[in-house]
Amino acid sequence: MKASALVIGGGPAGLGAALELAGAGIKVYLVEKEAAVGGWGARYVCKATDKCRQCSACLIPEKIQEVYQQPLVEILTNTQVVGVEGEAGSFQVRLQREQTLDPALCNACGKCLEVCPKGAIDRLNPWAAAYRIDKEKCVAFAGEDCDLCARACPTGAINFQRPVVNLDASVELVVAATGHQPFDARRKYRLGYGRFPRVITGLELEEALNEIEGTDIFGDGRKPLDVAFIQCVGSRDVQEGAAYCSRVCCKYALRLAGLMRHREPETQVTFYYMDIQTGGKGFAEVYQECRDDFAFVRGIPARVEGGDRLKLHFDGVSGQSFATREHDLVVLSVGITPSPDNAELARLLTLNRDEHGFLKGREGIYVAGTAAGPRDISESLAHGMETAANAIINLEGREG
Amino acid sequence: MARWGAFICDGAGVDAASLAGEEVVVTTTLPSQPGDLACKLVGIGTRYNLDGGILIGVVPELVEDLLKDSLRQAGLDPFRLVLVDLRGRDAEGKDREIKAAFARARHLEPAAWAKSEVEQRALIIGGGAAGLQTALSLRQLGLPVLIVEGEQNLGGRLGRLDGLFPYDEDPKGWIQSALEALQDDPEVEILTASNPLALEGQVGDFTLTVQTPGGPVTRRGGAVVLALGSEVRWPAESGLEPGPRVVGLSRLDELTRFRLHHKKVAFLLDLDELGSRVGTLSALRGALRIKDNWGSEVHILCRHLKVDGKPLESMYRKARDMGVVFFKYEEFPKVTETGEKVFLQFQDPDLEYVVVDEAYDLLVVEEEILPAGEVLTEAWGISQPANVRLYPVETNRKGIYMVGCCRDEMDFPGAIQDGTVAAGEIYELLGQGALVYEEDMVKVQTEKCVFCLTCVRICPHGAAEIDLVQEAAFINPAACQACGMCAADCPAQAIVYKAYDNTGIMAQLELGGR
Repeated sequence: MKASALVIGGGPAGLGAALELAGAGIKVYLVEKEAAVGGWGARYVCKATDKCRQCSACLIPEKIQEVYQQPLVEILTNTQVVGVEGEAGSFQVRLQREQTLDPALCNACGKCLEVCPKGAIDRLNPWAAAYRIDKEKCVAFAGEDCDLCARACPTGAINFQRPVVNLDASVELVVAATGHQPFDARRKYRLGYGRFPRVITGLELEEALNEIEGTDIFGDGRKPLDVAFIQCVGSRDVQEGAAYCSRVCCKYALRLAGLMRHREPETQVTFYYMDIQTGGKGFAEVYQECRDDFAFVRGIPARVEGGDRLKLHFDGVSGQSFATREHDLVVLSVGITPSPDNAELARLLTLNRDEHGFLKGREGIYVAGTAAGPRDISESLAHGMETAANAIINLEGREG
Repeated sequence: MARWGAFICDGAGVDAASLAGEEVVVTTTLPSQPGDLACKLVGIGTRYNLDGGILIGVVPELVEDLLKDSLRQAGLDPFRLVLVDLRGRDAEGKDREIKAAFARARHLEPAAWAKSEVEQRALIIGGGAAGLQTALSLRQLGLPVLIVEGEQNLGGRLGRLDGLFPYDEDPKGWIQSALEALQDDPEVEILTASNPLALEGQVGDFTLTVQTPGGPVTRRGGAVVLALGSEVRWPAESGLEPGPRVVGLSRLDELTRFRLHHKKVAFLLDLDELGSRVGTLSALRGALRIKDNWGSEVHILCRHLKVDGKPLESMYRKARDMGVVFFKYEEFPKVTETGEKVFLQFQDPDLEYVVVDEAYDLLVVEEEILPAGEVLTEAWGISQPANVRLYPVETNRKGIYMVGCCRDEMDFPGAIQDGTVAAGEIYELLGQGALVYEEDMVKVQTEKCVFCLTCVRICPHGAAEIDLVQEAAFINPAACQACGMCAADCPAQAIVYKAYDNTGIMAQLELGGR
C-alpha cells in the first residue's frame, strides 16, 4: 500500500501501531519527543518470580528491536509535532527536531557523564542506545555558558550550536499514541509522598527493582521488610477529577509485591485497598496465589506520618475505627492520568477530549493506548494494533 | 575462498582496519537509521559479491533481522551471518570473540528460500460478535472469508441481549448491519447449523471439513480464526438452585422484558471468589434496567467491585446515584428460601461486620462464563499459551488465531478489538498472496531418523509432521518457528538446526568465543 502515516509517541501503543502499519506496507514517521522510544513501559521491571507473571514488560525491548529493524519506520526522537493541517487522506505535518545530542553519533561511551557537573546526562531507559541531556537539569539549556560534555564527546555527538531542524511530511493518517501521566502523588499531601523518603510510588519501586538484584532499594542496607501498598492513589477519586479505575495498579502492585517477596522471602506485605481488580488474562491466578501470602486490609489510610517507622492512620477500617498501623516502606499505587500535553494536542490535532481529559479520535486521526484511557502494556499494544488495522481498513476503503 | 563482509555497529569500539584479511573483503560501520542501513548493505553486498557476514556490535541482535533482510534483498545469503556480542569484553576478549566467530562462520551453510502461493481465504469458526467482526474487517481489506456457525442464526450470545449499556450500540441492530454487509457478498460463504469436523494442513493452506445439514463439505483457506464464544454455567458449588425466585444473570434480559412487580431484588456476584468484570458489567446494566422497568429496590452484593474498565466506575456511580445499594461480603452469605421470599444474611466489612438480614423477591446470581469449544481446540492442538508474545490473538500455531470470549472473558468492545486485530494480522500474513520462508532451516536427516516421532509429539507449533513415504519426520518450514526444541530433543540427533549446527558452534567455543 503506497501511503504514509504519522505516529506520535513511541510507547507500547505507538510501537504496536507503527509495526502494524509498516506491516501493511505503509511508510511510518514514528515521532517521539523524548530521546528514546519505549515510553513508560520501558522503565518497568520484569516481575517474574520462579515463573513468568505475564506482566508484559519484556515486550517493550522486543518491540523496540522490531521497530528499529523495520525499514518502513523512520524513528524521529527528540522530535515534536508543531503543526498538522489538512484532512483525512491528506495531512501536512510539520515536525521539529531538537538535536543537541545526535543519537546517530552517540556511541554511549559515557565520557559526557563523567564531566557533567549537574548529572544532567543519563540514559532514558535501559534499552536506549544513546544518552540524553535532561533539559531541566542542564545549565546550558538554562542559558549558562557550559559545554563540558560537548568538548568531552569523542564522536561530536553533542553540539549546542546545532540548530533545531524543521521537517515537513505529507501523510494520509495520524495515530496519536501520546500516552499518559502517572498521578502526581504530591497532590495527596496527607499520604506523605515527597515529605518522607520511605514513601515512594509504584513507578519508583519499578525503577529501583530494575536497577538492583535484591530489595535494598535505598542502598542504605535497610531492606524494607514490612511493606505497605496503598491502592487507588489518584484513581476512583472524584476530588482529583479521576472518577475512573486506572486498571493497572492492582496488577502491578500485586506483581511487584510478589517480586519483592521472591527476592527477599522475609518481606511482609500489606495491601490497603477498596476492591481488588482481578480481571485480565492470567491475573486471577496471580491474585489467588498471593492471597495467602499477603495481608489484605479493606480501607485506605487517611494519613501517613513519618518517624523511625511510618505510621498509617485510619479513620475506620475493617471494624477497627481510628486504627494506626506501622510499616517501614509505603508504596503508593499511583494511577494513570491524562497527559498534561492533551490540551495542546487536542488543539493541534483538532480533537475532543472525554470527561476525564483523555483524547478522542476523529476521521483520519486515531487515538491509541493510554492517550485514550487507562490500559496496561499488552492492552496498549493491542489497542495500537487495532487502531492501525482500522486505519488500514479506512485507507483501503478510500482507495478502493 | 569465501568472501566475508565485517559489519561493525556504532559503539563496538573495533577498528575496522584491524579486521582486513584474506577472507574479509569489506568492513563497514553501520548507520543507525534502518532505511539507510538497508540501502547501504544492499549496495555493499552487490558490489563485493559476499558469501556472508560477521556482525560485530555491543548489542548486535538489535539489527540482526534487518541485516538478514538486507542481505537477502542483495541476493545474498542471510543465514551465513554470525553475531559477535562484545558486551563487557576488553580488547583481548574482543579479539578472541571475533576470531571465534570467523571459525564458526566457515561452517555455515547457505540458505535456500522458498516462496509458496497461499489461499487468501480466512476460515472463521463461530459467527458471534468476534467472528463477525473478523469477517467484516477482512472483507474491508479485500480478503475472502468463510463463516461456520453451529446455530441456525448468526450473532452468538450477542443476539440474546437486549442492550449493551452503556455502549451506544443495539446488539440486534449491530448483527443486522453485519449481516447486510456480508450476506450478498460473493466472497463470503456462510454455513449455519454447521459444525467443524476436522482441520488439516498448515499456514497458507488449511483444509477444514464441516458437517453441514446437507452433509460434510471441505473448504480451503490460508488462515483459521477460532471465534468459539463462551458457555454459561450455573454455579452449582454455591448450593443455590435456579427457580422462580433465584435466576441466573444471563436470564435477566429475558425477565426484564416483562413488567414484574418485584419490590426488592438482590444481585449476588463473585461466587467463584474471583468473579469477572463482565459479570459486574451485566449486573450493573441489569440493576439500572430493573430500576427503570420495575422501580424496585436493588441491592448488589460482591466481594470486590470490578470497575477496571472504562464505563464501569461511572456506571457504578450512576447506579449508586439512582439508589442501588452496594454491599461487600467476605464470608459467602447464608441463603434461605421460602415460597415467597429469598433471605440473605451476611456481614459487610465496611459496616464493621454488623450482621445484615434482608428479604428479597428475586435473587439474581452471577453464573460462571467458560470458554466454549475447548474440546475442539484440545483435539486440534491449538492453544493460547501463557506467552505474552502471542497476545492478543495469536496461538501456538502459525496462521491460526483465537478471538473473543473463547480466549478470555470480554465485553463487546473487546470482541470487536479482537476481530479487528486478527483481520489486520491475517492481512499482513496473506495479503501478498504468498508466504516466503527459509527451507531446510530445521531439517530432518531422513537416513538418521528412526521414526520415533518424538519431534511430532513435542513440537509446540504443530510443525513436525509425519512423512509416510520417507518413513521419517518432516518439519514443515512454513509452520516452523525455529525454536530448536526438536533438534535438541531428537534421540537420534537426526534433526539439524542449520544456524546452530554443532560443528560450527564447537569451532567457535574452541577458540574461546561465547
